[in-house]
Amino acid sequence: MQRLLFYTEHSLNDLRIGRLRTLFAVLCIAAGVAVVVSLQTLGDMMMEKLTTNLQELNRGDINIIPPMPGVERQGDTEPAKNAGLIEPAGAGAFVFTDKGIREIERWIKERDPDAVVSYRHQFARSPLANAGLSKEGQDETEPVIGLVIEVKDVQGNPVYPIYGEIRTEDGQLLSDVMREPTDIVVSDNAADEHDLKIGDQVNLGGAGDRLFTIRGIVPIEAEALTDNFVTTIFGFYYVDLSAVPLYTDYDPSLVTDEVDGNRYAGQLYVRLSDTDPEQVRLFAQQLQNRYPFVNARTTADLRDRNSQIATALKNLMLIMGLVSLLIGGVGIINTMLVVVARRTVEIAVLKTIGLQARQVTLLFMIESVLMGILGGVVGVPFGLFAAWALRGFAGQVWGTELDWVFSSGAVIRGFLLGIIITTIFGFLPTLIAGQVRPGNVLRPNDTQLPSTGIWQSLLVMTVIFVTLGLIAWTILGNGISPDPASRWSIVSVGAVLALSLGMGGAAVAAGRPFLKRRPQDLGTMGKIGRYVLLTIGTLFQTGLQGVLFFAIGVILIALVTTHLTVPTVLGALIVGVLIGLLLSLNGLRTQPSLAMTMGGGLVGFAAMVVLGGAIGAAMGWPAYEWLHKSNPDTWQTIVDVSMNIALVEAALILVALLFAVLWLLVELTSRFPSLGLPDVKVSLRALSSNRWRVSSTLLGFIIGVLALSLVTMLAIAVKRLFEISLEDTLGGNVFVATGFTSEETQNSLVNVLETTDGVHSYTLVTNYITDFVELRKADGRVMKRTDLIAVIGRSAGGDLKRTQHLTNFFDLTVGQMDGRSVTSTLPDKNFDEGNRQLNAGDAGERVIVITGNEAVLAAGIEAGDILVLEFPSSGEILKFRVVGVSDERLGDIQSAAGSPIYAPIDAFSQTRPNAIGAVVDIDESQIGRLRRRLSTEVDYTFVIEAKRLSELAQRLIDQFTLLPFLVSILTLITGGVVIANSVALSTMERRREIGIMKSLGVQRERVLSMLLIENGLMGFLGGLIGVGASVLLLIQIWAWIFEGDLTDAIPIGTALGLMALCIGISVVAAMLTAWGASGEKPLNVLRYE
Amino acid sequence: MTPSDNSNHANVAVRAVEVHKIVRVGEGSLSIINGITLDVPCGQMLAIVGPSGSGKSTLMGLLGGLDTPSKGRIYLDGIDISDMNEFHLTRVRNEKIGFVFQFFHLIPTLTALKNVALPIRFAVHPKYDPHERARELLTLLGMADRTHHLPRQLSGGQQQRVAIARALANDPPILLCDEPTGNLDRKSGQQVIDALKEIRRRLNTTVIVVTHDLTIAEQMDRVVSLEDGQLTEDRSIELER
Ligand SMILES: Nc1ncnc2c1ncn2[C@@H]1O[C@H](COP(=O)(O)OP(=O)(O)O)[C@@H](O)[C@H]1O
Ligand SMILES: [Mg+2]
Repeated sequence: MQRLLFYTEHSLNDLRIGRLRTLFAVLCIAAGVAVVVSLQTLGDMMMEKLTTNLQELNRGDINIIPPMPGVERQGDTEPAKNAGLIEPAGAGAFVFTDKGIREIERWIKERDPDAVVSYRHQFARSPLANAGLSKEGQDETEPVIGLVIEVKDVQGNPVYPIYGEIRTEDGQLLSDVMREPTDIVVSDNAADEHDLKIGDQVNLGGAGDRLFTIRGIVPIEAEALTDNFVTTIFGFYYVDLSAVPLYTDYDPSLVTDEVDGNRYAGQLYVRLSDTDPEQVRLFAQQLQNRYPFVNARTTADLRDRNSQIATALKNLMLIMGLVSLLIGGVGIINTMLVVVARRTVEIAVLKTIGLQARQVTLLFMIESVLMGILGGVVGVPFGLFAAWALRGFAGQVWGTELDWVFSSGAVIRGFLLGIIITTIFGFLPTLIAGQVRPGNVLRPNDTQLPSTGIWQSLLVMTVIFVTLGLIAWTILGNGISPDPASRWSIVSVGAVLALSLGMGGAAVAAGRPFLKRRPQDLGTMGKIGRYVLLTIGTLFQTGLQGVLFFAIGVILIALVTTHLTVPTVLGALIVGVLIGLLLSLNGLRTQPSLAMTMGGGLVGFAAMVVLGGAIGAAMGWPAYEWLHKSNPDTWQTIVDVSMNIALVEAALILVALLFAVLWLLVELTSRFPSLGLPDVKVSLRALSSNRWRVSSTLLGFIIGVLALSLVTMLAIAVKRLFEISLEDTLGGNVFVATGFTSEETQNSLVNVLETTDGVHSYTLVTNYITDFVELRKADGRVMKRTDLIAVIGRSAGGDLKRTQHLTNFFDLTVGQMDGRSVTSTLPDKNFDEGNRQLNAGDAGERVIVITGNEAVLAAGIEAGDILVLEFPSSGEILKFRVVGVSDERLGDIQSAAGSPIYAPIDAFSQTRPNAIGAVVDIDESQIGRLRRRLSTEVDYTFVIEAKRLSELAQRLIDQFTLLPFLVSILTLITGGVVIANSVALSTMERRREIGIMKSLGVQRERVLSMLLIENGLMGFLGGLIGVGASVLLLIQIWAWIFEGDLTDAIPIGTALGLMALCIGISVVAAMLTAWGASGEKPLNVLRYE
Repeated sequence: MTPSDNSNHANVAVRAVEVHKIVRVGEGSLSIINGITLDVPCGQMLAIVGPSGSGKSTLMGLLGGLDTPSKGRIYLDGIDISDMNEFHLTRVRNEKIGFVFQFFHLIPTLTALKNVALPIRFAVHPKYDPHERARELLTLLGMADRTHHLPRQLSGGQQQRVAIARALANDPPILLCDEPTGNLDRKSGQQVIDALKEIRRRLNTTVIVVTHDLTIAEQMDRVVSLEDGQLTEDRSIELER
């Protein structure tokens, strides 16, 4: 106890005396802690938002959702469709029909007469194609999502929303402002985007010339959190059920073109009189049993789903925060190393008077833990402040306003993680402190740090791996789970690695006393023994290295591919042997002969693999047998933890490699010619003499730079990519959609396009809803729908989620199919041999082109196959011959405007399309004219410029990159603090040097400029590597996704800007810390030492 | 702990037998101590003199268990410390040896009192109450009024006296002083030597002092000279005891 007091007092005193260095070290950790705390608090605010007021979020006790992709249901849709309860609404989704609504409502009221049923219907799934809003007298139609709601029920009571209330910006309820059918309310983001004010008159897509009046503006939050995320991007308007007959141009549901005034509903909301959760669950259960095609989601279901989402989000953010904290940890290592180096004599004195190595370690450990605690104390308020300040940003991403929540969990997590990371990172320096030889006290000028012994290094590695592995495990759980076989191999490789390390260490330790004696001091037997030991030592040493690299290889392969095959393991083996041998060459300097070293290495390696494998298997297998059988849960936990440890090992090995590269780069840089400039020379020498610290600091900094530059550049590049490729993919710069699907519409559309000046070419596009019937292969095999799912399932490696995802894509693809006129512009696609684009000769033929996306490739569709499709609106079944599977990876962009499957337009003689549109290549200046002509001559049209589409895409990208951007900025700030810390340390270490320089008459400016050059160089290196790496990554991503050729989308300007930022950060950091040092009076500095 | 070799006389405090110290310097090796044999009886005051670089400090390090010899044996109080590991050496240092250095080497963050109390606090079986003992020793050395001063608030001579008090904390049988006056003016230096003599007189502590200063060496019971790691001269001085 008394000793502990001494440790604490001593540490506190030391922290106090080394004010500046304490400050910076504490800031490093504080920055990391702040990032964790702020991200976790934001996560908790999100959690709070998503899991309270569930009835409001669910819009009722039960939310009844019609069949749509990605929503679970128990039964088939067919009977319900035949009974007229639901109708397909495109893209695999359905809506409730008037009949369906009435029937379900009746069923509910029979069981609970006091129940309230309300509903909301979204006009169309794709707001780009089908809905829109334009201000009176303006040509341009802005995409917006239309929501039909029932503002009041028959008795005049407000029923939307059933729970909670939606108020306009001036505080009124929807039912107060929406009195007439033509009264609408818009969301605030739509109002901002389109410059709409209360009282403005607007045209709504589908409602002809009818003018609607905006009566209110509501926050986007009203819908954003209720399964309607897309509203955060496009905005929405509410219109009352009574307005449906006003939609004369097309049916809001987009199913038929008969305007019947019927209701359609995307979702039904139910309020029960008994809201006891168990009762609600039972009710939902019964409802679902009665109508197996719906998904009856209760508030409890929603809470489960939302808390899952929020937890996943929080975990993701925790990992991102952890990265910052790890970067901050670099600062701790650097500071502690300097502290230990400056105090070797003091440590030696402590040892002289009787402190054991472990007591010295403990002493310094307490100092670093104290720094961790201080870091937490400083970091937590910063983090809370950041969360408070950033909640607006975060809210913007999720389309909601986050209420301030003080999350003690976030604070505790940040605080504890800060201390844990500080302890881990302080571990190595403190162990080194314990290793300082007491004899050092007799040679005070010898301040070289001792190196840690093999045991210490092993201990550090083990502690780091296990602790970080455990942290990763608590965050990820069994998130990283390749198939059982790979797991098993990874775990056993880890065991072999650990055992081999242990054995090697034991051998070396056993041989050490022997080896310490000089050969001439030993007898003959001693000499032989020494020789044998030396050989074994070499064997183990080189073997160890080989095994290490072998293990690294295997782990990496296992993690990357999740499949271990004989060739990959052999590959790793060979690489391991080679590297092991290469390293053993290094032993030449101390070992007797090359032959012995090489031979020793080889034999040692083989011995290690066999021995390690045998021991691993001998120990691991019974353990597995026993635990796996008797206690599968524990076994599973062990496997999960091991997986995470392996993950950490792999990550740290990567970091170590990066570190090695940096080390070399720093070394190279320090060899730059100094051009005869003394300042540069001094700076370069300083870089070189502090290689370790410079490299580790750079490492931390670069991670931040890399994150930031990757996020920004990727966002910019993708945006630019949209601009570049959208027109190519569409085959024109304007996309025209029409509401009517009659032949008349089609004819007048063609007429306008034929006779408008400036139209270079156009492709008529009609959309059909289809069902996959079967695929007939050229060799006569037939693939039914079930076979298709089976085949895709196999290709997805039995992964159910993936199968569903791929099959889903198939549903979407087949759900809408284009008819394209083949006489003009077609999308610009690449085809492999044996495949082709449609051509003029195909007119009237039933031939199709299909995008070779993952699902299509998995299904094995090839040119020459026959694809049989059913058209539900006419019941017609048509056979199409596949002529081209395009080599196309932009499927997603493409499906925004058309379908990835298309055939000549006249191949669908009988079936009426579900939508008609055209892709037009027209002079930019003529777009306005085309718009006007279309609006007068064709019943209902909607013109989208490709430019506009890419604008929308940009908005989307901005929205999605906001959070990563924020996080990477925070990470970079941490990196900047670590740089500042490093600068502070190096100026502190060089106070003496600076003092001497100044006493020799060197001006303050010169001293300052040397420090600035040094750190500017460091920033430059960091920027070069970080930004350079992200450019390379970007090119790689491009080559991978888009098959190269798009390198001009790489924002070179941004890259340069980011580099300048890096240099700026490090120079500013240097200024802050170096200014004082450079101004110090030389006498002070010299006396201080 | 290793039992004492019964060939040793019980009244020999420090015994070195054919001690060698070889250190690795870069590629080669350097022999610093070349076969030194030396017996120091209990209660003797021994001066080690020799030119700079002759290995005096290295020898002190070996005698005090700060380092282990490459060859040869060293016995402290009859205990063979030549092959001891660091853990046991640390205990020996704590219990059997007091060190005094040229640069005082007080812990800069601790007051005089706490510096002196430190070895007792880290003793495995403390014989004294740390604070009481520290105050007692500081009083013995004439530092009673400086107990709560930090080292940097003390003069060199005062610091060295605190260091001596610290060396005596666990009542060690042997005191090893490496140029204790090297950093002091003549007057303070003499005060330190007087203090050492007083201690020997009162506690019968064996004191080994390394020094350059012949006037100091002459005040000891015996002087040995070291040159290139070998003893070249060993003479006893008759003094009015
Ligand atoms: N660990 C060591 N490594 C290399 N050289 C050493 C080491 N310890 C001592 N020396 C060298 O041995 C010689 C004797 O040193 P030292 O015992 O300090 O001499 P003295 O105290 O008599 O001046 C010196 O030349 C010194 O540089
Ligand atoms: Mg010396």
